[in-house]
Amino acid sequence: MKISTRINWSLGLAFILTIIFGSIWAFQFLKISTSFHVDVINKIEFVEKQLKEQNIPISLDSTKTTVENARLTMKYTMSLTTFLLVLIFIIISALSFILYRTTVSPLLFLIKQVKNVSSGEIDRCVILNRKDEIGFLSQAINKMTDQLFSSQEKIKDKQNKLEVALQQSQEQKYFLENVRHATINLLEDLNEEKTNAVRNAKKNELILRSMEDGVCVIDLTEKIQFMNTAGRKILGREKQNIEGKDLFKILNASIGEILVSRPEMPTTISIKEQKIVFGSKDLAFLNAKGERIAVDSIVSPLIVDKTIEGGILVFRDVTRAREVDRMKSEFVSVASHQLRTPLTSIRWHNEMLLAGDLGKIVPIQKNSLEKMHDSILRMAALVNSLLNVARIESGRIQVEPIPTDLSEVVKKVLENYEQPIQKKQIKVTTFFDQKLKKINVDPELINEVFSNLISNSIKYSRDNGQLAIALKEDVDNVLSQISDTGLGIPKDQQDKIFSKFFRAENVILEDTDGTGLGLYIVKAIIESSGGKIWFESQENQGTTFWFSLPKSGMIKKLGDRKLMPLETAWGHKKITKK
Amino acid sequence: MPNNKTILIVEDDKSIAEALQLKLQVSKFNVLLATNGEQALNMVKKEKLDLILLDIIIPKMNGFDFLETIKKDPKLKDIKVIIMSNLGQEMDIEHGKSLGAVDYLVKSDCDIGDIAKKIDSLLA
Repeated sequence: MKISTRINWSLGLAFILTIIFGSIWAFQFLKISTSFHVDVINKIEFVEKQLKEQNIPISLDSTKTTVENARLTMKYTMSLTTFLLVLIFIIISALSFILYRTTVSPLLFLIKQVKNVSSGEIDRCVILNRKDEIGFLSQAINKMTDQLFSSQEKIKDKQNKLEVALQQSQEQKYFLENVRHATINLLEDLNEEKTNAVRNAKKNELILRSMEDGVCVIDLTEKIQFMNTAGRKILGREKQNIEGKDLFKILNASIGEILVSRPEMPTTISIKEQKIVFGSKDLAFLNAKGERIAVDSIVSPLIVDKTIEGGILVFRDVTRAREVDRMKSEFVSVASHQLRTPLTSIRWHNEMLLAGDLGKIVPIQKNSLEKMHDSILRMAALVNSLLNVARIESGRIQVEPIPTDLSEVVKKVLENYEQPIQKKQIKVTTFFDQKLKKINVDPELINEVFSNLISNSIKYSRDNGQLAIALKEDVDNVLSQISDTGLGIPKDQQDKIFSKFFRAENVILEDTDGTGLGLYIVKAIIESSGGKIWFESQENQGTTFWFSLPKSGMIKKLGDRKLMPLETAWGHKKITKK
Repeated sequence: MPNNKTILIVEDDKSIAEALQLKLQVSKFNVLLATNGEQALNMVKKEKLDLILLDIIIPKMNGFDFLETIKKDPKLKDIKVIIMSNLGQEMDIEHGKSLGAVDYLVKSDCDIGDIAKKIDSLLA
């Protein structure tokens, strides 16, 4: 129960009690005083009467006066008491009021403040600057509210932090959830890929196993990582354990009779220079039995993520093919050789007939004989070309490089072709670089090159055409250029121009002679000298051939064969070396 | 008018031999024919020869051996020998010349007229 209520009740109670008891008192007193007084007076008067009756001379007047005085005194006391009661009541009320005001009111005030604080309307209570208990209470409350406030702040802070943490953990949870989904997807994909990879691996394995070509993978130190079945078969090492072994030692490569050293191996070069390297066409490996296996080979660097990890050698046993080639070449050689004797016979008899050694001939006979002569020379040229081709392919051509002045070679060739040049009225110009030095080449082979190219230019030029020959040098090479204004080579035939027996359609139609072997031979000579040959041509406008020869010159090669000098079908003197 | 020079043709191919024979006879040479090395050797010993046209690839004794043999014989070594062969390689030519042949001609590269001219100038 509230203090104020208590006070109120107490006040009320006191008031009521006062009234009640006061009333009772007053009433009783009055009653008593009055009735008592009356009774007493009556009794006194009775007595008086009695006395008088009895003629007792006692006067009860003093008793009556005393009773009267008593009654007055009682009245007076009662009034005083009433007055005191009222006064006490007023004092009590006043005191209560004061108590109320000094205690209950501020307390109520504080209560309201605290209520406001707790409801958040205000932050602090108004301090009651009193030096009494209420003041202390007020200060204490304020202190408490301050503490409350700061702990609230702390709690809010913590709450914020917790909220942030919760948020983060929520986000993490989502993230993890996503990760989980992603991982599941990834696993599914990986599984699928794995299945595909396994399938592909099986396929590749099948491919590698069924390939006829040998495939060998080596690491950077040239150790064998893998060799397929075909490769093992070719090398006769099907059952051997060759993984981890040095490929160089396994292959025992050779070119001709000469063993290939490690730095010369296409495998080594491919890895070192990180490019595809073709093995020499004369490369051979030794199988497990020590037999020579001729191979066509190619090495590719194995580059993964831009880093070189090793190399891949692919090789094919071409012993059979080489053997067949060799036999073909040999056959051509033998056949061509055999052809020469009857050809010579025909030629000489024909020549004697034409010369009149066997009797006079009439013009019509002469005509036929001359036609025969042309045909014979053509055949002879063809046979020579065939023999040259066979010799080139057999690799038996001898190369004797000596310091040669190319301009001199060109001049000599032009001298030899003076007749047809004059006959067709071809204008010849030459540009020889002054600084041109001699280079080490086989003069006969170079002669063959220039002869073929110049011969072609003259042959395929019309009358009054032009022929220009230039020699210049750059850093590493000597460049030769032969240009004409002749029939040219049609675009669609240009890629075959260096092929054996190929003659472009436009020249066949012009009915000029040619074996189709000249350019093949020229290209073979140039390329085996380390040079390059190329051309540009426009039909009916002309052709320009260029070829380069390295200044380092041709490499001397022992051989038991030389090329036959070019013979043409024009009946002019051929070039013989004296 | 036949001149007094005798030429021996050592050649196993009949048509070639005949062509040579015809041509040389036009130039009025006396022409003998041998078709193998042994036969040639016999003829050399029997006849007086001024010049031999020698093929290399012949039966029974090849041209080089024949040449070597006659060059060893003091009586025969001065006979002029022109090798005529289809072997046209450098080393064969050098071999022939080193054995004492005055010339080495490659049959399929020669005109028969040139051969005749050469012989004429050698025996002039």
